[in-house]
Amino acid sequence: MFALLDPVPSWWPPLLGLLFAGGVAHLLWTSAGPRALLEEAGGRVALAVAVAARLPHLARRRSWVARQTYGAAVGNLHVILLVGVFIGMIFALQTGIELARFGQQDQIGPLVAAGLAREMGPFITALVLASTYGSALAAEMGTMAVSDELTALEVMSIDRVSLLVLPRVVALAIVCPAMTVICDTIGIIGGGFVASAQLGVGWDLYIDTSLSALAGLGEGVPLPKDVFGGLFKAFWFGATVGVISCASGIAARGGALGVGRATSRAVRDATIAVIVANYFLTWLLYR
Amino acid sequence: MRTPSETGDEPVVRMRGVHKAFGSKQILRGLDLEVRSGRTLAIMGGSGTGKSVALRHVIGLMEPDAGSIEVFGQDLATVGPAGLARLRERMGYVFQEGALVGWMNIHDNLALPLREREGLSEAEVRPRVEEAMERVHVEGAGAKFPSEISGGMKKRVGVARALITRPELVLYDEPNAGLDPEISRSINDLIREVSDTLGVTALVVEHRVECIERVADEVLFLHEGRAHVHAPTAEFFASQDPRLRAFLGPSSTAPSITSS
Ligand SMILES: Nc1ncnc2c1ncn2[C@@H]1O[C@H](COP(=O)(O)OP(=O)(O)O)[C@@H](O)[C@H]1O
Ligand SMILES: [Mg+2]
Repeated sequence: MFALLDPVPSWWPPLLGLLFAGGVAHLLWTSAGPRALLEEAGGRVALAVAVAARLPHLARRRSWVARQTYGAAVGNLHVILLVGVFIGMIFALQTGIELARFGQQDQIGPLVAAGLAREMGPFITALVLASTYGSALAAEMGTMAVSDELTALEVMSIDRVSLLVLPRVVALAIVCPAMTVICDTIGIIGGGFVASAQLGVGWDLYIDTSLSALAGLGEGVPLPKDVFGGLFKAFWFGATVGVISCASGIAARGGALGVGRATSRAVRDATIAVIVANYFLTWLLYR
Repeated sequence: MRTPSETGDEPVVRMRGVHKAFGSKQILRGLDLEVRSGRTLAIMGGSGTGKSVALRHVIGLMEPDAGSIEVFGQDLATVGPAGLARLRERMGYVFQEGALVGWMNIHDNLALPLREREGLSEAEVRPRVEEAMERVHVEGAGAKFPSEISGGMKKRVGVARALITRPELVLYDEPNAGLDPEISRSINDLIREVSDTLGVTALVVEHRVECIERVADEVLFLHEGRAHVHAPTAEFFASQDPRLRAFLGPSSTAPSITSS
């Protein structure tokens, strides 16, 4: 498939460069300047480090982690089920039509399974969590910030990262891989509907080939390589969404308007971060 | 009203020449302020004159551009984060809207500083929380959430939370704002009661004359970023300073003593 891009047309690198420069220029234009942008990024990195430093507090925070995990998982399960089944169906249909032209539609199962497990499952799950749970986190933290609740905790010398941020970030890092498994499973089933109903591939063959495609064990990991890769990504996606959402909320100023801005910033930046992290994690896993 | 040992002479809070600007807006321009142990100082002044800003400096939420702030005899500029945390453990801060944590019920809100900061066991926390709820007369509200109680009750719980760690210095930011007169009176009585029975030192930002007369030993009139008038309560309201008179308005030339 990637052979299509080889050789790369000569106008491709300059176009990419232009797009990148345009994106950066737009970001600087819409934000309060490069300095504010750096401070914002620095604040998020600092929060991530602070959360990592408080991981030993987890035992003490387990009831809050459990509560947040439950909220994130149960509240958004139906979204993942709905999105997952349709992603699998779209994936099967798109690739199936191409494969059918070469009479290769029997290969549909492995393609859908690997595509979901490696890429679409964790990615879609992270985006769904960013827009549902991440936005709620940002609004919650933002409301606490603008109503002096965070300041109150500060003057009481209460560790806010340990109390508020740690359980939420950890919950997302648990929920994202767990929901990815659900998304993958339902997606493979959705692909199976399309394969058997529209492409004439038998259900049993589809399931058999899908599962055996995923069965290949990776080196040094206890799980099949593609499944492990997807869950590894999902873990980091979840943690990233959690940190960015909390940091945006904490930085909110200026009443309800400020909370609204913080929420939209959280979803925007979490989406960008997940996409960028996706590239680098994929590169790390499959280089 | 107070035993002599409670009205010591060492100032608990001392601000000297404090300046603070936000951008080009100069808010404090050399504020001098002193509160002695066991006394209650009220800060009066127009809206936006920097009363809350002054309070936030005392608890180290803001740093002055110039001038010094000493709390319990220690200079906030040199105590460092750990030192500031130790000083804050001896202070309580009552926020304008209560600032209770919205997703915790009243019991958990009150228990929070005990659990988080003092690391007490649940067996030790429960009686302390119950005692605090009794003191501010919100018994039985422990299972309610902040969104389910009235503004006056939130403020009471805010006071209880500030007091639960047994602070020596309590800062109140407009404890009466937005309350009707009756509830306001009960809050004033509460502040007075706390000062008398626990012997705490207090700084109260307030602009209602009847509240100040009820709770304060001294009053400071903040005007153009400085302590324009600072005097014992009776003397303060008798002052003929034209700016203060203009602020208080004609109705309060002869202050009514609202004692209960
Ligand atoms: N963190 C801040 N950043 C910028 N301006 C502030 C900040 N805090 C207070 N101010 C400004 O300082 C002035 C005094 O505020 P404040 O102390 O809250 O007034 P008040 O006397 O009514 O309590 C206001 O004009 C306010 O806008
Ligand atoms: Mg104020």
